[in-house]
Parts: sequence; structure tokens; C-alpha cells
Amino acid sequence: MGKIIIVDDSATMRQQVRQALAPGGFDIVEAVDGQDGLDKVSGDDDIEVMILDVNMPRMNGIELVEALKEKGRVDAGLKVVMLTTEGHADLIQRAKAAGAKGWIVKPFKPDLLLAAVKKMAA
Amino acid sequence: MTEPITDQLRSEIRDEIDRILRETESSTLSIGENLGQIVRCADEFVSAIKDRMASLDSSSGGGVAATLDDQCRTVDGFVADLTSAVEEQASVADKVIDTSKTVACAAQSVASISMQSRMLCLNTMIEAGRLGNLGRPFMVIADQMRELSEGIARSNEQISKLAVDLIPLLDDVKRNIAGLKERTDSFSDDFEGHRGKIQEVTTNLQEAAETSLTLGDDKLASIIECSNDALVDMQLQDIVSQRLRRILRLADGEEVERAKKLTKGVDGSGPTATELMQTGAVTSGFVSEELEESSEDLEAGEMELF
Repeated sequence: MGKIIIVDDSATMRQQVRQALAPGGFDIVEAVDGQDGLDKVSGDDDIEVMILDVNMPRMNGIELVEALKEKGRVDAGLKVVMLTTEGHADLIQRAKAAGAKGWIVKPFKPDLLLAAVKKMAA
Repeated sequence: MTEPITDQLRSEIRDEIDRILRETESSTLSIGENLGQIVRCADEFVSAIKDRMASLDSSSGGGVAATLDDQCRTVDGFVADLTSAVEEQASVADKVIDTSKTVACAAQSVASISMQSRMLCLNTMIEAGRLGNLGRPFMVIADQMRELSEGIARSNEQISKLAVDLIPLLDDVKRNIAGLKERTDSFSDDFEGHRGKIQEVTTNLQEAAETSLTLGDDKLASIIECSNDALVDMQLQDIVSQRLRRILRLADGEEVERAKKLTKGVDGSGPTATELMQTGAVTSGFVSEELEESSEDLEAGEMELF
């Protein structure tokens, strides 16, 4: 199965996403904020899917997906799913315009997240 | 009049809140690990039960039910072979009895012929005696024939006795064979009853296996559902913790210092913290703070794929 990166400043949330995706057999890496996520994705072309929080220090999730679009990673096939407490329609549109493929509002149900990621990775 | 909060007190409060948040987050991580382990253990347990139950399935080679069926068929085959062998031996016994009777009859005939032969010899000896010297050779021959005839009679008597003695022995053999057949038939009838019980036990085993599998699957589904509910609750707790952290960062002045560094002029001057807050250069980190609510907003737990 594909490689996935979880970008969230909460260790608890990264753990829960990892556990939710475990049945899918994915290879999973983690990043602790937006800048860390940008560095790791830039250095690893094997990453196919990004699970991305919005409210993070150093660089928030919207800024990160816009930066990745600018770098061409989104157009190259990187699939971004926003996983955040935010649900505002304007933010969703902004992420969509930057190339994000999905938006999930926390708290999430593990089986729904797994289904969404499997669909992305297929 | 309330005393103002000093910087030291503010720092102590901040440190204490930070400590509580760290401990809370650590506990939450630990609970998450344990929940994951519980689900993995439950899944492994159900899988192990399924493997064990599969061994009871009569359709699989080596299964308990299949083994019992094979054993029953083996016993059936043995009993059938035994019954056939017993019947064959009874038939042989009958033939031997008939042959013995025939031998006894033949012995009687030989005895009669032997008696007549001896009489003939005696008569010959008498007639030969009348002939005097001329009859002497005939007398010798007749005497020898008499002895031969007596020898035959003695052997025939033994044969006859053996044949007669054999008949009751063979009757015993025949009775024993009949008794063996009776016991074989009785065993076969009893085994038929046992086979019914064995099949009943096998059916009960299969039903118990199916019930166990269904219960196992149901329980695993319940454990996963409860675990997911607990994980959602933990997420809510974590969301509260993260909001508290961001508020602490704001109160701590981290964001203010960062914004000051970004807006500082060449001469070192720059806006004050209050001015920075009013212009929106400093935020609590919540991206949607400045946005107005909309009916198209997604609610907690909702998902949209593009």
C-alpha cells in the first residue's frame, strides 16, 4: 500500500489517525507542524496522501497546501485530506482551490477516515 | 481591592497549566495505545477461536466430526467382514459334519464287508481242512486273509469311532459359531444406537462452533464500536487541550514577540503589543476566527470529498 503523512501538532491526534489507518497496511510518517510537513513531503516523493490539520504553529494547514500546490506536488498527484476542527465554508473552498481532495471535521470516526483514505490511495 | 496579578504569579499559573496539559496529553496517548491493544487482542482471540472451530467442521479433512464418521465407517466394515467370516465358517462346519457322517456310513459298510470276509475265510479254512494236505496252502492263505480282514476291521472301527466322536465336536463348533454370529449381530445393533449418539454429539459440536463464531464476531464488533466511541471522546478531550495551549501561547506573549520581530523597523521601533493585537497581526492560531459563520459550514464529524 501507499505512503501517507500525518501532519498535526497534537501527538494524540497523530496516534489516533495512525491507529485508524493501521488496518489499511499503509506506510505512515508523521510531521509535528506545517513547516515540518513541508520539509518531509519535499524530501520524499513516495508520499501519496497527506492527512493535514489546519490550526498549527509555524505554518497552518491552508498555507501548507497552498505551498505544495506552488511547488507542483499537488498537481503531481499528492492527495491532501484536511482533518481539522474547522468547518468554515470559506476555508473549505480555499483548500479545494489549492488542490485538496477532502475535508473532515474532528472528531472523526476511524472507519470513515480509513474509507476516505483508501479511496484517495486507490 | 483585588491585587493585580504579578508576572511571577502569571508565570506560575502558566507553568502549572502547562504541566496539567502535558500530563493529560500523556494519559490520553496511553489510553489510546491501550485501546488499540485491546482491539488487536480481541481480533486475535476471535481469529484463534475461528481456527479451533474449523477443526470441528466435518467437511474438513482431519476434523473431529470427519474423524468420528471415518471411525464409524471402519467399525461398520469390520463388523461386515466378521459377519461374513462367521457365516463362511458355519458353512464349512456344516460340510465337515456332513463329510463325517458320510465317513461313518462308509465305515459301517466296510465293517460289514470285513465281517463277511472273515466268515468267508473261516469257511475256506474249514473246507481246506477237509482237503487234508492239499488244502493246507489254502488254509494258510485263508488264515492270512482272515488276519488282514481283522486288521481292516480294527482300523475301520477306529475310523468309525473318530467320525462319530467328531460329530459332537463339530456340533459344538457350529453352536459356538452361531453364538459368535449372534453376538456380532447384537454388537451391530448396539453400534447403530451408538452411531446415532455420535452423530448427535457431532451435530451439537458443529452448532456450538457456529454459535461461538457468531458470538465472537458480535463481541468483536461491539468492542470495536466501544473503542471507536472512546477514541472520539479522546479526540474531543484533545481538542480542548489544544485550544488551551493556543490560549496559553497567546497569553504567554509568544505570538506577540514573533509579530514584533516581523514588524520591527530599522531603528528598532515598532508597534506595541496592543496595536499588534488590534491590527490582527497576532492571533490565537485559529484560522477561522475572523470569518463569519455560514450555513454551508461543516459540523463536527462531517466529511466532504471533492
